[in-house]
Amino acid sequence: MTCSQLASAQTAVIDPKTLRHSRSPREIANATTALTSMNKADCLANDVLTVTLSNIVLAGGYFQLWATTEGKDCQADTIARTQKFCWQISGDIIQSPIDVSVRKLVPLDDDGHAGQEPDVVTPDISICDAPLQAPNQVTLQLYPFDSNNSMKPAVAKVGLTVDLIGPNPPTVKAANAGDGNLILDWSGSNPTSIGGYEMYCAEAEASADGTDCQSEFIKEGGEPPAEYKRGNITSGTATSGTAGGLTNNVVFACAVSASDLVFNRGKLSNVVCGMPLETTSYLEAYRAAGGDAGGGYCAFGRASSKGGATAGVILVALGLLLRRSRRGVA
Amino acid sequence: MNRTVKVALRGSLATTAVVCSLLCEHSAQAAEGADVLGRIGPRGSRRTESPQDAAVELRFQRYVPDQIDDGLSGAPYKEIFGDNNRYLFGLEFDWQVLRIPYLGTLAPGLGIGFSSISAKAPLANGEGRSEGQKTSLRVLPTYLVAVLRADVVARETVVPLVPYAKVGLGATFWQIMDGSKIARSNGVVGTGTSYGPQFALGAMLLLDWFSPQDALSADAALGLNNSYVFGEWFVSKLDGFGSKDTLNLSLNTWTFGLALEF
Repeated sequence: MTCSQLASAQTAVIDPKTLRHSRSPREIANATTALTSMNKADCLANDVLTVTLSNIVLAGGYFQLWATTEGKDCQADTIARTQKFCWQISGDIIQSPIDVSVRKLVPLDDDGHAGQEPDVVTPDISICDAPLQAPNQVTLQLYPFDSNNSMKPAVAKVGLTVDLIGPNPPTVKAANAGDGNLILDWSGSNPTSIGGYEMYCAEAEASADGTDCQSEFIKEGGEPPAEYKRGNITSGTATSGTAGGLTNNVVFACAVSASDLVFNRGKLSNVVCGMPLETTSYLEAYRAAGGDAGGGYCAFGRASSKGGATAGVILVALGLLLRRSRRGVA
Repeated sequence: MNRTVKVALRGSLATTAVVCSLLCEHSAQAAEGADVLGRIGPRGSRRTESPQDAAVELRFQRYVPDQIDDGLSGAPYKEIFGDNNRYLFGLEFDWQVLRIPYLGTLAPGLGIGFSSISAKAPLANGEGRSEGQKTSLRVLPTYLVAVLRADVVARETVVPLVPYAKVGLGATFWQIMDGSKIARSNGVVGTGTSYGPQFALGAMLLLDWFSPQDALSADAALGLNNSYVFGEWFVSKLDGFGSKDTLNLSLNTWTFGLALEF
């Protein structure tokens, strides 16, 4: 290779830290992998990922952005250029930045899409319901094309996670009565892939057989209804959570949805019912029995004169000891 | 005499001999003023000990405020939390800046601890307890005390005991919880401070006595003069000096722990 060839080699750099999303706010905005992870909500909202190139050398050619799975090399003649292994994301690129619809990053499975020719058309919203196994590791690769339109080896890559599927629901075991709330106990999810849980409750309706543990809004295997969300907990290892804001003495049907590490919500769990009941705290019991304490850490009561004298003597003694101590040190 | 009894007797004699030899060794060292331990014999013989300025105690205390229902029309604490033992973990730091000759050290000490007492909340309709709602009393005791540790016994004799006394003032910050929130009752928030005098009498067992060489090594390497296990009887009268507006968190209880002097 000559010096002139070296000088004219096409190159560019993609720094993952410079990736940006158009959707705001995103649930995963604060996660460490926020920039390189995409969830179902991003797909539904047609979030646009902006990819910034730096240190660009075109050398009379141009670039194309491709996506791959399983570490494929799109330049290889033998590669199946389908939206499962290797597909084109952008047209010809001669400047930065590049806007990419998140929907273009969704890899499709063999059944529905094998053999498709690559294209750069943005898929419609139905792709967000693609029956993918999650999560999918997708690599964006920047391929140079020289002035003869010949594809060269990739010069820049960035790894992305595309996850459109929520985790399996837990099994809810009980809805225990609290005061204006129900404490739900569950088991069964894999904590390493769970980011948290959400509790959903709606007033239970009487069923045809006389039992009342059902609701048209809370159904096992159904989508979590945002308007009936009654609490959440951001721990994958949690086995209990509180559904709050409920009315005492009313039966509620409740279920739990798990969410994964990129905040995809799973389907609703089995439905359990419970009735919040008014309780008595120790403070209420204490004050009902005639106690007057409370009202803040600085709400001191009036001491007896004998007590005040005792406190004074002790404080003076401690003061003298400290004074003597300081002298000793000096 | 059968074989089993003979074996048992032989074992007892052997154990007694080992204990006697240990005690005799200590007695002999004391008599000669020899100071293998650095703790036995006249104070002037403790040539290898580093300066001693402070003590730290890790404290484990039975925490049952058994006077909390005094003066009330019922016994709400006992009815809700029962009379089971509860426990408190604490930490105390003493600044040993005054040594009284032929007696021991006198120090101001600061202490802090934490305990939480919880129970299922009673249902307001009186029909048992809630399975899902808890009510709890959280306490954060703090105190300032004068501490006299009479270490002359352990320093001048073979008895590895240090009797001590403490007197001072305590203030316990408390919260009453209703589930995960601070409780309220008719607009009154469930937080407060209970204060009053407190006293303690106890004794510390000098652990250095069991392994003198390790004790010397710890002093040389870490500046750790002495280590002890201790037990004390603890009395506090945290009723706001007789105030009716103070939650009575007085205690009359035992405490065990580990103490280090350095």
